Amino acid sequence: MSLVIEEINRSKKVIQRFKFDERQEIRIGRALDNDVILNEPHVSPHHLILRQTDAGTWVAEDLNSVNGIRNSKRKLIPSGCQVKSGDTLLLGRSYLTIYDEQHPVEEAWSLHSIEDVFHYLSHPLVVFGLLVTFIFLEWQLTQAQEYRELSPSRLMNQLMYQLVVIFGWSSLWSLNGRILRHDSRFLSHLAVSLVAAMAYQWLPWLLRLLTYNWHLGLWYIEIGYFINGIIFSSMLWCNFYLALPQRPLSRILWVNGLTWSLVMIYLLPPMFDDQGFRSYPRYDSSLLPYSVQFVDSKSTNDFVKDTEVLFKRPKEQQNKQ
Amino acid sequence: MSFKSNLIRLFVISLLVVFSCTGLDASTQTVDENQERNAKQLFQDFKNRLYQVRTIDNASGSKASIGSAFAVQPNGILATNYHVVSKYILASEKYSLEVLTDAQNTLKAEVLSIDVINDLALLKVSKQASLPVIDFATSIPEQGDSIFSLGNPRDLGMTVVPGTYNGTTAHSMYDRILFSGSINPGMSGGPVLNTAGQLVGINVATSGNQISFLVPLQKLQTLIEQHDQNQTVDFETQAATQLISNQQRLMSAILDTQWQTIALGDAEVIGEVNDFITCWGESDTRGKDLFQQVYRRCRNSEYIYMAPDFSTGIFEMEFYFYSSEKLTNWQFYRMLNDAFASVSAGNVASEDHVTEYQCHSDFVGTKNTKISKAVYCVRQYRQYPELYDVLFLSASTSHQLKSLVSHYTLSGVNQVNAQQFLTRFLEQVQ
Repeated sequence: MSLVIEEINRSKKVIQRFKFDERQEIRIGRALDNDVILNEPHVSPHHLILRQTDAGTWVAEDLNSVNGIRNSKRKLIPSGCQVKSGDTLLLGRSYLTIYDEQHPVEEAWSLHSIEDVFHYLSHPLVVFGLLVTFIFLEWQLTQAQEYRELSPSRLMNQLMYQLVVIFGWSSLWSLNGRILRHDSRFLSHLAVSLVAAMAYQWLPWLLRLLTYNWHLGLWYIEIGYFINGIIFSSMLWCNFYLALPQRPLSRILWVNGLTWSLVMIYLLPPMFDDQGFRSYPRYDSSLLPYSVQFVDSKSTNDFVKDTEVLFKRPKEQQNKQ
Repeated sequence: MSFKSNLIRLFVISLLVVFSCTGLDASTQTVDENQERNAKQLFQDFKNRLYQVRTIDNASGSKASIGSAFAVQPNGILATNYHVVSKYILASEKYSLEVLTDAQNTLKAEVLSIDVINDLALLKVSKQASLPVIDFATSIPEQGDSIFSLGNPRDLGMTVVPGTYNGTTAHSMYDRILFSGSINPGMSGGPVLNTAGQLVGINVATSGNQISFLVPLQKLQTLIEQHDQNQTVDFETQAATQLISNQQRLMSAILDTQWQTIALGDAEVIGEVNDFITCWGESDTRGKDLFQQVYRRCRNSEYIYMAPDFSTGIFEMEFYFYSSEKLTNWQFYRMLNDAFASVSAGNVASEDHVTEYQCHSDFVGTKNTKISKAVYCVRQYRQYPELYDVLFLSASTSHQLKSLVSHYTLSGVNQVNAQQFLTRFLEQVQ
């Protein structure tokens, strides 16, 4: 029966893998005459022998090594102990996992449908197109928001700052991918960041439309954080997908956990702030052209009727009397 | 938009006047009523009838504010301004009231009755001997007559200020006398005499150089009459009754008239509503020719002082017409947003006196051409739950690059009057 030996690192990534057919014993150590050669100074030149017994099981025999053999719980195991398929042995600082060739492996992860989208997005022409669109939109939208004269130097500063963040973020994730999956995919990350940046560009407009029509202007910041969270978690999901070998469920949990705890850090503390007495009215002051008013207007009488409720004093204020 | 009153009035805080209780015989105090006197003679004759009113903070044992007063009845009844004793009335556990005589004697004083609309109060001092009083004039002076204001400005000592009677102030609902002479803080509540040494008014407020205001004698006479007839009620009830009937008078005067409309830019707004509501206007192109602003602001020039941190009785109405040829529609609305964002009420009110504003906003209008966004905010008076401050704000949105921003504040009105005004305003202004 064949035996597979994996050298893994502390986070269980496989460094090298050996397969031995029909062998009675396998020698492991730092010396070059071993079957498995470990280049780790805490491993003895001849550290141990794995030997097959008559019953077909395997035992580990310590060859008087300096640091001994330890199991996955870092306990020293005596020489001659039986080794089962899937057991991990710690020699010095090297981890070895021993498998029977019949040892079951996990089913294949199904490929996400977005994989093709990332493939097309990472085409240099597409990325360039996104970049140009982003810059153009930034210029146009800033101009539409500003009724005083638009200063080119300010726009340029703003653009440079945003581009540094976009490129920085993409580089960080492609570096992650390079380390963890040997696959940097810089252009895909850049495309994802640019798409997210464009979503952020439209966010204030979307927010203004929503809050104007439904009179939610006083919740502008809270709604803003919520939509911000949605955009950020989508972007982070893509970054995680591209850079990290992760299961779909744990990816979703990680991404949302990170995003919403970040949102809460901004949203929660103000709720505990002491609200002093406001002698000025707090009202929704947003104004937009009639062309983007989607809800119906009230008649004068209905408006007057709706305001009657304001003359009833709210309960919490009654108590202060 | 910020709403600053064109006429900033300083309320005068009066100083205590020393009451003379030297052994002077009352008969020697009698003055010849037909004699014309100058300031020197008047002061000599009347200084022993003047008092300084001190509001003493019990915790520190020091005076917190001062004013002037004078005797109106020999049994120890003095007259002064409501605002001189308002701190004591609102927090009688924190303050006590003292009266200082011409001879530097301190007497304990109590408040008998108040008139918050006309800013008057009657005090009672603990004094056995009868007080020399100031007689009331029997006729109203004529414009140009010399009159003399007495009082203790800034605790510097009792003074006499000669000046001129200039009739009743224009655009006034409360018949204040316009006195061309200098009244200063501390003189509030002091008497103003004609040359015969008779009372014609009471010092109340000043508006800068030689412009001072007096409460006419008739208001004091009414208060004394009411006090003689009525059982004493608590001051809160008394003030509530006065405020409610006063807002009814003000709002009826506004609601019972036909409102004329006038043009402001391309919009139709409300013109002069009433004699005591005056309008001012100006046009402005501060946006570097990017947009034009024309405004018209109407308000009453008077307010009712209730406490150092609470005033009411204000009516103000403002219209801003914005137009632009150079901005895009989105830029125009961005600019309008800034103008729409910072409205507050014209009257001062703190947490002790009012609730926080509650606001409602919606789109109002029936036809596509007359849509506006309207905001309506209401706060209630804590001591007078029938009364409210209401604040309305709207901006028309149905025209390209043109908008009328309207605002009004009514302070100290009841719900019925407020809602009637709102209905009428919405119907008339578009």
